[in-house]
Amino acid sequence: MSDIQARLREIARRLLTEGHVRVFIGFGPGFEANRPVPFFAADPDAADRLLLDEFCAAGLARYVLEEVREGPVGLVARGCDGLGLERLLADHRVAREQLYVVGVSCRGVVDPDRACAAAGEEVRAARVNGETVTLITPTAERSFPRSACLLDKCLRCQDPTPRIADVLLGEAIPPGERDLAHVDAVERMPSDERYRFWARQFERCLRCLACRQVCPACNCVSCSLDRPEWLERGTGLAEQFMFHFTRAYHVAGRCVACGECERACPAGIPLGLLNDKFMKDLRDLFGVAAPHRPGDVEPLGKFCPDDPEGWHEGGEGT
Amino acid sequence: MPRIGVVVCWCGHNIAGTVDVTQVTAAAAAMPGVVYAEDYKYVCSEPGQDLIRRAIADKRLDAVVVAACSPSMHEATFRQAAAAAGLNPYRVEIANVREQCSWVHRDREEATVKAVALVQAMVAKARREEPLEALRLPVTRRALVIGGGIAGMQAAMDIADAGYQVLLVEREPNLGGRMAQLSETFPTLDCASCILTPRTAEVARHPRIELLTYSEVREVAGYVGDFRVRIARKPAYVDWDRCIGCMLCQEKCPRKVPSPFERDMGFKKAIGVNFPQAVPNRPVIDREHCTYFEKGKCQVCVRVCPVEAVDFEQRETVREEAVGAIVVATGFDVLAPAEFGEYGYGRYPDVIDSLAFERLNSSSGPTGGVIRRPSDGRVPREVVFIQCVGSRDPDRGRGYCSKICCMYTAKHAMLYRHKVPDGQAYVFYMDVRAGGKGYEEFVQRTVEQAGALYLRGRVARVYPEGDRMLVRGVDTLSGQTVEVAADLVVLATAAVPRGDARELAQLLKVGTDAHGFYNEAHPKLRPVETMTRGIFLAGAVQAPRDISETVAQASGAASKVLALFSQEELVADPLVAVVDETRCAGCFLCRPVCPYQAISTRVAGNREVATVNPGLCQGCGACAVACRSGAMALKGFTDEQILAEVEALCLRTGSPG
Repeated sequence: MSDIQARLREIARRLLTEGHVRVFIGFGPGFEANRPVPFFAADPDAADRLLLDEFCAAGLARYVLEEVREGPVGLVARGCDGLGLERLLADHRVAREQLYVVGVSCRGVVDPDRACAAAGEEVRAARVNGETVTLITPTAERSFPRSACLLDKCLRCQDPTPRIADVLLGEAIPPGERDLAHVDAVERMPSDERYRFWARQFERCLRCLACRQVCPACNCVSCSLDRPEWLERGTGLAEQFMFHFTRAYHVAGRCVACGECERACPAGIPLGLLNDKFMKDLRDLFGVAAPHRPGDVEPLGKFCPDDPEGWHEGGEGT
Repeated sequence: MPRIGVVVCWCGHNIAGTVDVTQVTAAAAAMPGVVYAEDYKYVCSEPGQDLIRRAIADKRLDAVVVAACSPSMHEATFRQAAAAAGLNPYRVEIANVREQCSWVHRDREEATVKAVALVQAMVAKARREEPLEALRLPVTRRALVIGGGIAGMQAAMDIADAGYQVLLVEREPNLGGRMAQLSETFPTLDCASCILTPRTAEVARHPRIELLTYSEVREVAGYVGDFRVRIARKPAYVDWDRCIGCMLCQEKCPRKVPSPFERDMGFKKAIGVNFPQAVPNRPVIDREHCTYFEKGKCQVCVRVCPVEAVDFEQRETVREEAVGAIVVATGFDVLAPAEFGEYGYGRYPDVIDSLAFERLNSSSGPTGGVIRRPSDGRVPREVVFIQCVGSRDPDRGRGYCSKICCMYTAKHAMLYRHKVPDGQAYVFYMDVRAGGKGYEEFVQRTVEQAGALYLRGRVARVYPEGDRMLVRGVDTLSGQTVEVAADLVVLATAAVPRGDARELAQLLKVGTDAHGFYNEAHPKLRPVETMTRGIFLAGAVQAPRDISETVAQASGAASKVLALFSQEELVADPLVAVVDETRCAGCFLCRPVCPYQAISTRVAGNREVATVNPGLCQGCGACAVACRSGAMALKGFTDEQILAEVEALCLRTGSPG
């Protein structure tokens, strides 16, 4: 990774020096070595503080929305960031010429909490291999299965490499199939059990709206969930269901499966599971790819003249 | 708080029989904002409307809720009544306590509770109402008629006779449509040509009808009063302005090909007209079969033409026209009976369809009007007619009755007997449907005077034996198996929509039924209108129908066009979508979901937002649903109003009053 990190700094420095971009979004050091944070390099020297390692967790696409208002933006993008950017582009929220995308392939981001628990001590560094992850602690270097180390969203990832990079650092990894197996377990539950399952999840919600703020599909100027006629401020179970169902419906057919909502949720609500359920239904009912590719015709966003109008009196299906 | 009046209609027994209207009225009187509540036996009647008008004046009402039938029935009635009393007509709300309540419930108590809830919801909506102003649209007083058959010609004549310009577009090179292929017409047996050809000539020379034959509608934009239509004129490869219609080209053309007009039983030339009486009397070159287009040489037509009208270089031309109304009269097709293998159509030349039999009867047809069977030209001594081929057959996807076949089959049997006095006609039928003036009498004459043998039952198989066709079926009245050795078998195949009916419907944004026939706006009260304002239907494009019905409907469609043209400007419902630009994110998901292409882009400040053309918008609300941020609102059905309705319904605890 360090070679790629060096090239990233070099590109960012050049873009900033030549004035191609006003700011370059990447990652910089956090308070702990295994928790880097998003970093906005606004001058060429700041480019040297950019870092890129297995702990860079946050999605960067959504930051673009704010930053492009002031001028062109450069950023480093993994597969999930790339899909988020595609979403913003398809929604006409960002113009392609305002972006310079430095693509990198990603084999998965290490969850520091999970990794430290697996290793039994602080993990300073990691290497993500094919099926295993090597965790490096002050005392040892040991390999663990991916599921014991990576973020949940990375375990189901289907797009390691962004499709819209202006320049790609390193090798491209071909896209795979999205793993929707975890939806089956919920679908198999009897309805009352399923209700209790979701009630247990949603009642933990703090309504901090982090899921909305990080979501590249939630890019509206004004959110209907901020309007009291649609959603009251209370956090009773009815309001929680209303909030989460509305959020899920508003991204249905538009969710790019970047997993940011689930990663950002401080209450650990499996929002990705809900999104994946919609994705599976859309795939099975409308035959669209899972996840849906932004820019394609949206399965729930078109008027189809071939619809049989089955709901008409005397039509099919009455 | 606005002052609201509630009027509860009994609709005779329709509502009052199941719903306790007195209790509903009492409950309404207690609802917040309601200052007047009354019930009446028929609110749509003049005294009922007067009740509304007086209440508005006496009680100084700001809004009225009428608990009555579906708004599609009488919303307009009650709005007019309110407007007459000086109230904004869009402050009238209908609580549908008939179709959505009394008609679908039996329990009086439960139905009453529900009726109160429905009234409560509409009262809640009425409280949040804004007065709306009707839209005013200019009108282009020029009509487009699509289809030059008997329906289109009738509509065009009626509109033109009233003093307006008409653009008549016909896909074929000549007028006449399906009727041009018919021999005689039931129940009078006058010859189709004798009725049709004077009419085609009349249409062609009418000073206010512009004829565009061999042309097709390619694009339709705009809205009622202001449609923009792109019409393509296909290349005829003959300059019709130069051509004098001498038809030397047709006479001398060395290339003979089967004629679809003659159901492939006769031949036509690669250049020429479909039939000698064609209007306009101008030839076209059939590019697919022309020797010059195939091999690059021949040009006999070029050499014989006295006016140098043949032009192999001719290209398609497209013109854009502005019209205020459109009549669709594109007619029907007959089902290709190939899918009915048991009848042997396509395999045996002496199994033909009814349209082919019309051509055999026609004096201008391939046999000069002598009924000869295709295989050997012999005059058939026994003919079997099979009805309901493809019609009334839900198993094969067409449950509907094609309506015209009973009558034309009776006509065929009679004409056959007239021409072959010692011949015998057999008719296999399911029922004989002869509803119409003089129709039943006609069928009786076919049976009694022409001696046609009617056998009630389906035919199981048709197969050849020697030079005849054996028809095996069941006579369900006697329960016996019947076998007829026929010289000719005629299939009364289903009337089906034109192959490209759905595509044209999409251009016009007109709905179709499951089969592809065009939907009328209301089967009883608005049978010639479509759901798209300014577009009307005439003839078999809507459903199978005979000539007299078609002509009547065409005149109906014309009168609707004339009513439209007689207005200074068109008044449109203001119930259209509107964008809150501060909320619009400019994602434009509203655009692909709009069936009417009513949404476009507008620059507001430094960004692009959606904007709605109120003339195009039909108020369907698809965009309002698609808009996640709630920037798109449907006037008269805003989120606030709908949510108020829902809340009023949800808050109901159950007991009426």
